[in-house]
Amino acid sequence: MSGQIVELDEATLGQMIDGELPFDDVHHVQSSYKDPKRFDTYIKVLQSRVEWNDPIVLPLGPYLSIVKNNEDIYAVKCVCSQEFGDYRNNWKLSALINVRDDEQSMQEIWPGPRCPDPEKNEVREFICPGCGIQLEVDAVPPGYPILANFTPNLEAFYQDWLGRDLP
Amino acid sequence: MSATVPLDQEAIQISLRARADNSKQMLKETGHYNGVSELRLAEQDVIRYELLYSRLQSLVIGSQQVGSKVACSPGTREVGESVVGLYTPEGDSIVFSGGIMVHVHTMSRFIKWMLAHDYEIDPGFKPGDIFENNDTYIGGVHIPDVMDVTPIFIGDELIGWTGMVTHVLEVGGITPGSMPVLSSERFTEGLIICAEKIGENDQIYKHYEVRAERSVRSPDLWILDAKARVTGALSARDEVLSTIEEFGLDYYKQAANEYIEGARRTQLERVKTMLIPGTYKEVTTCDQMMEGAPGLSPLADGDVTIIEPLEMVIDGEGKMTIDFDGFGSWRYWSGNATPAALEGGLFVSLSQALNFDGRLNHGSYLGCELKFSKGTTVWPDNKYASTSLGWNLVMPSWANWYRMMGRATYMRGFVEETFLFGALTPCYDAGGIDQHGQVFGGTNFELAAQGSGARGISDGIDFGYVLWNPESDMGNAEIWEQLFPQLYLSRKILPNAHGFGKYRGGNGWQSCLMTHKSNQLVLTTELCQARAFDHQGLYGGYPGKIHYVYLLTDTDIRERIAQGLELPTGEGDDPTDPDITKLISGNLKVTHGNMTADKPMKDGDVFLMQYRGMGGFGDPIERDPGLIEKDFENGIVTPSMVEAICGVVPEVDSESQVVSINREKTSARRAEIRAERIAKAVPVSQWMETQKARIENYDLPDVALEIYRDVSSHSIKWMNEFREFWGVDDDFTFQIDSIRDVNPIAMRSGVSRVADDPLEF
Repeated sequence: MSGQIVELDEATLGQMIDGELPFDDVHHVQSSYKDPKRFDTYIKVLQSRVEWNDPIVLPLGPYLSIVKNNEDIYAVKCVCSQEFGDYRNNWKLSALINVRDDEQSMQEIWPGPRCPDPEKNEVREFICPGCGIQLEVDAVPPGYPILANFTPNLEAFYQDWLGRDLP
Repeated sequence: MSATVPLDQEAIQISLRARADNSKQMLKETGHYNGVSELRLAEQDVIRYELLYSRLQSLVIGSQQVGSKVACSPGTREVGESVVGLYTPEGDSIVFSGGIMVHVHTMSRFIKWMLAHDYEIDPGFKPGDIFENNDTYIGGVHIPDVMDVTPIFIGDELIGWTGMVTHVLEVGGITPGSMPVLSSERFTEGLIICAEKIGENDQIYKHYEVRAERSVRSPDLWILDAKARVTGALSARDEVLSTIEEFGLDYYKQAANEYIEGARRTQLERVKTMLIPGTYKEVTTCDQMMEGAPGLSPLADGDVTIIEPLEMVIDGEGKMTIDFDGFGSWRYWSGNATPAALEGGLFVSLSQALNFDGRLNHGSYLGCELKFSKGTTVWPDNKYASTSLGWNLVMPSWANWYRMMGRATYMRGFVEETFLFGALTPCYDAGGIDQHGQVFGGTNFELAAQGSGARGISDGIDFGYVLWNPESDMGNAEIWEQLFPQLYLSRKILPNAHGFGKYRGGNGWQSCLMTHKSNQLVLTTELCQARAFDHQGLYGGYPGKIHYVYLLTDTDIRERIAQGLELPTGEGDDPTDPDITKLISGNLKVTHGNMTADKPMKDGDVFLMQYRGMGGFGDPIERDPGLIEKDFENGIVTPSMVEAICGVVPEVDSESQVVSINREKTSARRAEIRAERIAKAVPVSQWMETQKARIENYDLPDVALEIYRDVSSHSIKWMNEFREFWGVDDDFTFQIDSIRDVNPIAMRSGVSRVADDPLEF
C-alpha cells in the first residue's frame, strides 16, 4: 500500500539488489515512503556477502565500499578484498586503467558510425587489480583530469543524519 | 540597479515588485519562505489543508487537459507537450500539472521579470489580461516553448497567476520547425514574443493572430496552441476562484505560503532520507558539427565541442548546491542556454528523482542553490546569443546530475531509485511544401519516446522515455504522416542502441521515412550528439552510441514499389554494412549530429532517423545470460556484440535457429576476460606520468586545447584543480597564442554565482 513506509528484511532487500524481486513488489516499494532503517539493513546484506570482516562504513557502489580496515583507516575496498587507500583520495588513482583512445579500440564497443571521435573523447576503463572487474567507465576529452566522482562527508552523514558515531 | 529594496510595509501593499523583493529578504532573514516558521494550517486541520492542495493540483491537471484539446498540434494534443501552473502574486510556483515541468520555473521567471520591470505600472495588470513570452532570457529554454499567464484577481487585489506552456511545432526561424539548428543569433530563431500583453478581457488581440499568420510557416499550429494555452490558463484561473470561494481567501493565501515552505522543508528532509552528504563531480561533452551547412551565418561557429561539468555539494542540512562552473564561452551557435533553462531542469529532474509524490514547487527550488558564471554558454552576457537548442546544455547537464543521484541512492541503499534517466534526445524538423502544396514546418515529436538509462536493479526503459517529459509518448505514425509529406516505411527496434552494462540502458529505435508528394522538403536534425558522448554509464557500464542519420536521395524506391519488391525498413544488425543501402540505390549520406540536408528532399527520397538509448549500469560481463537471451528474442542485441562486450558464448540451435547462451563456456570466458583486463591495463599512476608529459607539451588534440583554454579563462577554480591534479607548475596555462580563443568577446568573471535577479536579464 502506498503512503506507508515499507521495511524490507535482509532477504527481500538482497533479492531486490540482485534484480530478482518481482516488478510489482519493487513498484510497491518505490511508491511507498522510504524506510529510515534501509541503510542499516543494506549494510547487513552487503556485509554478509563479503568474505572479509572489515566493517562497511559506506557502500560506494556495487563493487566498492568504504570500510574501517584493520589499521583503523577508512579505506576504499573492493568486494574481492583489494584495497584502494584512504577514502579521501580518489580511488581511481589506485586502480588499473585501460584507455580506448583510437577508433580501433572504440569500434569494439561502438562499431561503424556509432564510434566517437578519439580527438573529442577517450574512454577510460578503471579496472580492479584484484579481480579484474570494471569499476567505472569515463568518457572525457583527452587530457581531462580523472574526476573524483564522490567524496563523502562521513561525519555529517553519521553524526547529523544517522545520529550516531562513525563505526 | 538592484532588485532589492528596503522593507517597507506600505510599499508591500502597493507594489508587487516590492512584495517579491520582500519575500526574498524574508527568506534570507528568517530562513523560511515569506517568514512562515510554522505550518499552522497543516497543524490545525491537516485534512482541510490536504484537501485544498489536492483540489489545486487537480484543477491544474484538468486545465492542462482542457487546454490541450483546443490545439491542433500533435505535440500538444497527442504527446502532451504542455504544462499548467499556479503561482503566488510574486510568481512563486505552488502546484503544477504533469508534462514539460521544466517550465514551471521558466514561467515563474517570466512573471518575476515582469514585476521587476514594473509591468504593474505599464502596461498594468487587469483581470482578464493575457501576457505571453518565449524570450529565453526573460524565462525559457528555447523559443518554441511559448508561455501565457493571466492574473487572478479578487476585487482589486491580484492574488496570483495561472499559466500554461506548450511547445509549438513551428516558430518561423531560419530553418523550418521549432528548433532552427542554423540559428547562431536570436535574429534567426523565429518569432519572439518578449513578455508581451497579447490580450485582455480573456480574449487574444486580433493583431496577434495576424502577426502569427504572417510570421510562421504553419500558422494554425501556432495560433491554436496560443488558444490552447490561454484556455488552460483561464480554466485554471476560474477553478482557483471557485475553490477560493469555498475555502476563503485568507485560508488560501496562508495555505499557499505553507505549501511552499512545506516543500522547502520536504526537499531538505528528502535529501537527508535518501542521499549521502558530500561532494559530487561529473563531466560530459556535447558537440555540434555544422561546418559548411548551407545557410550558416558567417559569424557562426560551424563545429562546436564543449564540456559540460557539474559539481554538487550536499551539506549537513540537506541543501544541494549545484554549480555549473567550468562551462566555456557562449558561442555563435544554436546551443546556448540561460540560467532559467538550467534551473527549470531542476524541477523536471526533482519530480522524477526525489520528489515524486507531487510535493514539488518553488519551495523545493529554495532548498537548493544553483550557480552559473556569466559570459559562459549557460549564461551568455549577449542577449542575442541563440538558444534554439538550449536543451543541448540542459539535458547533458542534468544527465550529470542523474549520475550523481544514481550514486547517492545506490550508496544509501535505495537501489530501486537508482536510475540514469536520460540525456540528449535527437529529433528532426522539416518544412518546405507539404503534400497538399502548402507551406509548412514542424517538429516530428515522435522523439518523445526514446531509451532511458539503466536502473540500479534492472534495464532501462525501452522506447518510452525522455527526461523532459516523464509522460513519454511517440504519437501515432499516422498523425505525423498528416503533418509531414512523409510516409513511414517502418518504425522498428534499432539493435544494440543502448549503453551496455550488467543492466543495459533502455534501447533505441528507428523510423524509416519516404518523402511523399513533395519535392521541397527541407530537413534538419537537432539535439543530437555528433562525435562525442553527452552522457555516461555508471559503475562500469558504457555510454550509449553516437547518433547519426541516413539520407538517401535520387532513389529507385518508386520503381521498387511498382514492382512489389522488398523495401528498406532500417539499418539492420550491422552498422558497418547497413541493410538500408542494400535494398535501394541512391545517393547516400550518413551524417552525425545536428545537420541540415544539403538540398530539399524530393519525392521518393528516404530518411532513416534514429532514436537513442542511454548508459548502462555495472560491468557488462556481469550481465545475466537469461536477460541476454530475452534481448535476442526481442531483437534488441546481436550475438556478436554481446559476445564481445558481455563476454558470453552464444550458440545457435541448428534446427530452430534460436540463439542461446552456453552458461558453462560463458563463465570460463568471463574469467578469462578478467585476467586479460588485468594483464592489459596499466596502473593509473603510470598512465598519468605519460599524460602529464603530453599536457606540459600541449600535445593534445586542438579541440581539447581549445576547450581547456576557453574553460580556464572562465573558471579560476577549474584551472587550479587541473594544475593540482596533473601536478604541473603553478604558472602552467592554456592562455597561449597557439591555442585559438573561441570567443574573445565573452565576459570573463572567473567565478560562478546565483543568477536570480531579473534585472540582469
